[in-house]
Amino acid sequence: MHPPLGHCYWAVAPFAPTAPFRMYQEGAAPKDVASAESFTEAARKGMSEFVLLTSVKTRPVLVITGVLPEHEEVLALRLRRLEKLATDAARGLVRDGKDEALFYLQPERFPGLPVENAAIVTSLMRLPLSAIDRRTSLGSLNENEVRVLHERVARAHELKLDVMIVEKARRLLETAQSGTAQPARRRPRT
Amino acid sequence: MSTHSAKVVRHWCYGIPVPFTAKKISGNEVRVPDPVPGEAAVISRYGKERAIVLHPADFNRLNELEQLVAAAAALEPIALSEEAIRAHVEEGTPGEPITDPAVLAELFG
Repeated sequence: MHPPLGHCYWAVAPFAPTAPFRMYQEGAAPKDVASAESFTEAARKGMSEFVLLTSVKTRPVLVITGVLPEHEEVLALRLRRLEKLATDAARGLVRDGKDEALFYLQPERFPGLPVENAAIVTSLMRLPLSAIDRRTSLGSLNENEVRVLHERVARAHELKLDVMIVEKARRLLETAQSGTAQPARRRPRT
Repeated sequence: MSTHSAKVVRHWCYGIPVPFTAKKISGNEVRVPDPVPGEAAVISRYGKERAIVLHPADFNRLNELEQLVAAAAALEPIALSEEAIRAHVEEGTPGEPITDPAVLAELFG
């Protein structure tokens, strides 16, 4: 796979801020804000940007997209060590690809990961490139695995792609009927 | 004049799920050819297609086909296992962060 798509890297991955929110104050201890509603009220008064203290974890992540050239960002998934699963049976299901929400990373293709891992299909996060240490790839998926993973992510989030798929099929049919098949244009990605 | 609109099916030209509207007009108001199943009557004017008249059975079949294809293309949701749910929650929840200034200075200078 053309990196970073399908590759695993160490990254500074944030945890999404949740209530109570810890707000930074100049020269004072952080202030706890109990709920999102308080932020809405502040925004209605014209003040909407603040600094929150957000936890981050240095961890391996699996990058599942190319770089959006306009934004220097990728989508990535968190990993789960198989040793953290409760039972051998659960580990077996993941290894066999039968737990669709935990995508098994074949150890032989991820030599940089010291133990067996699975990508958590529901843990999609957006990461700027500057938060990813791309000096060393810890391993990578093959093209087929990336396709399967993309499908699982779409299914897990119940993305409504049906009309797009049907419309694409219709256009392909029209193209085939007119005998003017042309390759799809693709935006360059790094 | 008796007209009636009903939302029937998605309209292709938008590429998004916008309902296709069927406009019903009384047969007394217009002169239309008598459609037969399997035949589309193309009404043209000044060399341009203006309308196509279908037999109701063909129209209904097209609707059903469209719905069938859309259903076939719809994604089947993933059932999340207990382990997957636990993994998502635990790996998405912060643990005990390192805040000791001495340790941080040692790590990051």
